Amino acid sequence: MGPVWVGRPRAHPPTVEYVSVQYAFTPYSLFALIPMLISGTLALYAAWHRSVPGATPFAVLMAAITEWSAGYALEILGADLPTKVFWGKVQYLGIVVAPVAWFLFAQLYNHARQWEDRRRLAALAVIPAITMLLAATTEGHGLIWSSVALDATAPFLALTVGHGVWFWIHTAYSYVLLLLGTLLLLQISLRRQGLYRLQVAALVAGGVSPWVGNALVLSGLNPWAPLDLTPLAFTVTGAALGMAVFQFRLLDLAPIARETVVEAMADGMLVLDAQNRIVDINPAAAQLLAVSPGQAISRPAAEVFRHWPHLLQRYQDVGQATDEISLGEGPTQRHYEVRVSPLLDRRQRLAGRVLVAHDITGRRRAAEVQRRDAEWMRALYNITLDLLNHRDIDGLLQTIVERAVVLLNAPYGEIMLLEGDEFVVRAFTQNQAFVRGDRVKRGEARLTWQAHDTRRPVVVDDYATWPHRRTLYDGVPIAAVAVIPILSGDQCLGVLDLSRSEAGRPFDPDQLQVGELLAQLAAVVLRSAQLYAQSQEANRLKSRLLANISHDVRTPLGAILGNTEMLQVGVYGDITDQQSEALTEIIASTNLLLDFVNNLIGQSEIESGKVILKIEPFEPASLLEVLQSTAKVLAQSKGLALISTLDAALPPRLLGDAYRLRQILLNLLSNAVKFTQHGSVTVRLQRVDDAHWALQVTDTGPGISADVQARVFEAFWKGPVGQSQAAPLGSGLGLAVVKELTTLMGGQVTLESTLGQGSTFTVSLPMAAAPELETVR
Amino acid sequence: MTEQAAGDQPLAFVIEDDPKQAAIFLQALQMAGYATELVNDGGLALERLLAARPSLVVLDLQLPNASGETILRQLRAEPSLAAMRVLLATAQDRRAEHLRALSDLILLKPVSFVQLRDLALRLR
Repeated sequence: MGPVWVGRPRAHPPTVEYVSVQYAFTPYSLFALIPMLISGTLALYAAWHRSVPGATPFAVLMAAITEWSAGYALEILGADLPTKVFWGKVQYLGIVVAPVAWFLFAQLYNHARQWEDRRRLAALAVIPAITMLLAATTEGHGLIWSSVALDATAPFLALTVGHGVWFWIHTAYSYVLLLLGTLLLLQISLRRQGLYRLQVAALVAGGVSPWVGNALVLSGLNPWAPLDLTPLAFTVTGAALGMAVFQFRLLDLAPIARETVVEAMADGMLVLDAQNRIVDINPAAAQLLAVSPGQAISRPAAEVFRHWPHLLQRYQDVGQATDEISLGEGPTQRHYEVRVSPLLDRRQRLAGRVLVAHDITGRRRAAEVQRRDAEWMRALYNITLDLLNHRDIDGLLQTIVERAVVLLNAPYGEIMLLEGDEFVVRAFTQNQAFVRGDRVKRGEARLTWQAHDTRRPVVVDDYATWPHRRTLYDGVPIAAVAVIPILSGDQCLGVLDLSRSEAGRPFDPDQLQVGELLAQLAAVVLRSAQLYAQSQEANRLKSRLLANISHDVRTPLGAILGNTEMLQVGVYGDITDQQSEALTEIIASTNLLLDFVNNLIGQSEIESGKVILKIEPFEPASLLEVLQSTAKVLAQSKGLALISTLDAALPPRLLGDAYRLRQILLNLLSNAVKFTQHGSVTVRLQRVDDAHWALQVTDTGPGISADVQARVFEAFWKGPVGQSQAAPLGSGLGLAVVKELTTLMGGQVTLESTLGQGSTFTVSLPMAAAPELETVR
Repeated sequence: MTEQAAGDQPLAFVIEDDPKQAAIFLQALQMAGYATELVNDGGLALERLLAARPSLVVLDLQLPNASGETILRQLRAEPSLAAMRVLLATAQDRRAEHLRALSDLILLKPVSFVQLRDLALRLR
């Protein structure tokens, strides 16, 4: 069927018709003018808000419909055929652009595809461009319009056209795009929940209405034929889209952002309305609550949260809160930070609440690791401190058990040690006091012996159903058990036993490793405690030995001394001068021996740390009593003058350990008398300043050379080699004891000496005056 | 048992259980001009002291039946014995320290014979 061109032969120049353009008003033009105004307004509004994603294709769509409607309005208003034909062609710009813009809008709304993708755009524009070109030149080929005519029988002067081949191609293409766009919006509508459903419904209504209008026209069912209902349908489209834009804030609240952020975010999001019904839920929240979003929507929160009544209760009436919750148990347990924010309507009334659950499991685990490391350091620190303080072995084992319980997160703990052929409980947590005094022989307590035999940790994940469980533990619900051997080299000294009561929480390898480290620590503790006990025992023996020596030596020495003195003073008859000299020598040597014994004990006490100062009020003058002692006898026997002076500026009573001070003074005196052959030994008690007083012993002996001065306070040092022959017998301990005791008292001992001019030892001490009124029993 | 007792001689007691040590003390005191009496049992000491009321006592700390400390406290609580001088004789031992105020002097064992003689002489 060839094209039938009604009206003008194609040879006629077209310019003539343009000049003769005429119009006549008809109210039917309103069917096109109103859609034009609405879609024009929407186009401008969208263009104004083009910064919002999706606004641009929407504006283009609206502009195309505006153009189409405007063209159609002018076609209706046209008073003759050329005018109508001209505007009929002009409309094709809007006609071809609208389906493409619709499709792009729907697609962009759905997937946020790059609208600016030029190649895609170009591909979509091929058919519309051809349609446009053919429409402009349809008189030449009839591919769009095969015929045009004026229908004067209609309520208004209408343009009727016969359609060419390309028109159907164009129509098919347009319908495909329209269909695809509508399907896309339907798809979103089904996927979306709550707030956005109405928006999408409006969009779909807008998308469906041109179909209805167009379908009516093409099917010949148009009640207002020959009026083209498509632009009219687009009025509905414009209004629907207007709803979407204004009422549901299509362009203000960009659904694309909501889509990408909320749907894809890892945090669970839940929207509750004022009646605590779930209005919106994102996939993460749905997964968290083990429901599908479709199931959850519009159901009461109480139903969805039925597995977590405590959570429901916690957030029942909370408008705004931040909280941390844990879901699940064991290794699959996850932790969430839950934030509840109120949703207020325009009048600031509570319209609902948004709950956002942020997964903080990783953060929690990191914190857990950090906490465990800190706990581990603290355990090490405490145990080391206890070790250094020589705590008893049971105290140390108790410390280890208590730390292990915290570190391994297993509240039941005990340590059993191997004693002979059985294990004996030595330390345990208070929650299982029933194990006190428990002893197990081979054949009982299988786990303990297995750990002993294999030298490896033994773990039972479900002790409650384990066939070999001990009835001893029936009192507490023990579930997971770890028994870790305490190994010293290849020897098993005992076991560290840890248990948990919750089922389904077995010990993991990390925890066992920590347990093994603690067991190693226990082994170190046991070894060093044993060594310490041995050394303590040796020390006790030494002290007892020294005490015995002291007693056993001093008693006969006393007898020698007393009897020799009696001989010398003539109790048993007269003696010769030679005999007297010999007796003097015996007395002097006996005194040196006594000196030696006394200082040996003093030194041993200091070395073993047994010296404890006893600070009490004392009279400084009482210290000079030592001048009555053996030192005096020695001095007299050597013809030395013993002089003492007491500084009047000293308080009458001081605070200090008078017994140890006498020991210091006696040793200094003995030393001075020992080395001085002629002259005198002087003792001075002096006030140095407001805070110090001093004990000073000066002799007129040979003096001590500078290079030797530093060494005289060393224990067992007896003067430079070669001089020892000339030096009198002594323990070599006296000055060492002086120095130790002085240091213990917070004082200092100094030596001033010049060879040939004697020596002065000064012990300066912090001064504390005793209260004046002291009641003495 | 009184070794020696002349009319104008002051009386000194030695309370000591070791006979060798006691002999030396007694000798020193006698040389200083005292009449002496030895008590070797702590339990008997106070009774004898109250009976004889010596002017000087050399008291050992370690005694059978009653310790030197007990005896010292008892006799210091006795007003009739207020004038009595007490010399405590002890091995070098801290235990004597707190008795310093109750005694007139503390003698560290072994006590020098000459020292005790001179001291007793001064105290006459």
